[in-house]
Amino acid sequence: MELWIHLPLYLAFMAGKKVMRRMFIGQLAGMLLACGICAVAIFPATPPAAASASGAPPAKAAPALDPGEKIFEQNCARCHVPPMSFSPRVTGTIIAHMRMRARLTRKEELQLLKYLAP
Amino acid sequence: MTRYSQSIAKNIESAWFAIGALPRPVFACLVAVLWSLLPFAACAQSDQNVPEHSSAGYTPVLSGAFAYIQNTNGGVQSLVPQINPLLLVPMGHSVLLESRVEFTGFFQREDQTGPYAGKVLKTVDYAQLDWLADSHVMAAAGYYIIPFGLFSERESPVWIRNLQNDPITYAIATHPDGAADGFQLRGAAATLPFASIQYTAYVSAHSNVNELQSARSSGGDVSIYFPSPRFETGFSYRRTLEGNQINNEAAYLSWQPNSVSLDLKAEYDNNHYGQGYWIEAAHVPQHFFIAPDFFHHFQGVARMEQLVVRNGGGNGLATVNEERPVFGLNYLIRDDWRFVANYGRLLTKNGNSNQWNFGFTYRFIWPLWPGKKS
Ligand code: HEC
Repeated sequence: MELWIHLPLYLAFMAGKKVMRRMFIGQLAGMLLACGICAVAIFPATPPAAASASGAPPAKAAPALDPGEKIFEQNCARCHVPPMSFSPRVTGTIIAHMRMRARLTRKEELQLLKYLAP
Repeated sequence: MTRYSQSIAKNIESAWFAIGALPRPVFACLVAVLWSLLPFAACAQSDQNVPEHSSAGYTPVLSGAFAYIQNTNGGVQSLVPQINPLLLVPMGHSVLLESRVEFTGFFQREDQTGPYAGKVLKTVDYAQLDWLADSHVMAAAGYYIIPFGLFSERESPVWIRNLQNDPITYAIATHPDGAADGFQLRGAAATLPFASIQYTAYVSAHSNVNELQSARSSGGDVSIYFPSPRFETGFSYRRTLEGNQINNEAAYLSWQPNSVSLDLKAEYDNNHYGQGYWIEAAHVPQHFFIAPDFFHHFQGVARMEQLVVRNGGGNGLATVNEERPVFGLNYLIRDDWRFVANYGRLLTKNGNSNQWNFGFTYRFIWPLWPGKKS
């Protein structure tokens, strides 16, 4: 018995290569669309608050965030658990490195530096 | 002149010829992007100062990770200790030298029952010089990680990845080297109040130099990031311009909703040898109904992956269709230390197998120079 049996894709495999490919792409597009719709749905609803997605807790609703803090909260958990702290003497180096990775602007870099190493 | 720089010089010429071999619309777009960015680079020096009231220091840093992973793949056990040091040397505020090396031990029992034996592999992941020229343009030259999709450049370090195995589609566009010798431009093309449009464009030359092997290629990545809902979606393209000249494409999305501690990532990859996707969700229970202080250190992860081979597959991909559900439970002692445990079941028509990983990862950041302290 084929192993694909437990996936809906099994049907596509049975039905032939072309159909399978179409279904595969269809499933993917569906998934991406679903995530897109969810994202759009929360646009107006949620204030920018959380500090981290995968590790650190979502931040408590802050009344008015410092621009640097806002950039930190919106960017630093995109790829990894953001560090709790690092020494001010390496802050410039690390933020330059992360600016390159996260493709941040100069303005965002300066605001981050001001926030992380006042 | 070193062997490396000789080889690069020789290949720059061929890289330019290679660019000429690009499909005309792609070539036109690449040229347009590169040229439209030059004026920004020209005024690069104008706004490069550290903010007046910041004590941020630019000390060289040794960062990276230690990890020890015990891996069981289809009943065969391997011990995989790793050290991945990353050197960051800033030169002023706008130039940064970054390089990461990987020392990975790979030990298995001889004849399944004997003592462990194996070897330590050394690889240069990347070695590049960055110029943070302007608000919208940054340039990098050297040996850089191929910016393709979500995984290669962002998620691959051992302390970042939520699950220890690479996705089964990982070889698409990154096989065989994972990195390339050449240069790239990247940055935020436009920052709107609600979104930022980010780009990367690169060309690379052929190199056979040990540890710095590279294929002639060109490509790019464009993504749009909505900071408020923390949602990003993007598209990557790479064309290899030697051997079987093939196109590689990826579409991805990443979302960290504000209201729940969830990290959702998904990527679809496609090339001549196969297509597939992975979709991953990671959750940290912040307000667990019992012992929340204990449980908020746990991270539950689930990933579904699928690969459909084409033209016989291979080239880093499997040669038969594969799918793999993977589950993980990580314990984050602090932001830098964590225990990892994951289980995946690889399903193929040739048979199924279990894959286990247990171990820990530790991320370090060490200043290399006594600098400003506050
Ligand atoms: C686009 C993905 C991405 C984003 C966004 C990002 N990082 Fe990183 N970060 C990485 C990667 C990848 C590494 C590992 C670099 C390596 O090993 O080559 C890293 C490493 C680090 C390190 C270890 C030291 C170093 O520089 O390698 C620190 C600290 C860090 N990031 C902090 C931050 C902060 C603060 C932010 C927010 C401004 C941030 N990161 C945003 C991808 C990202």
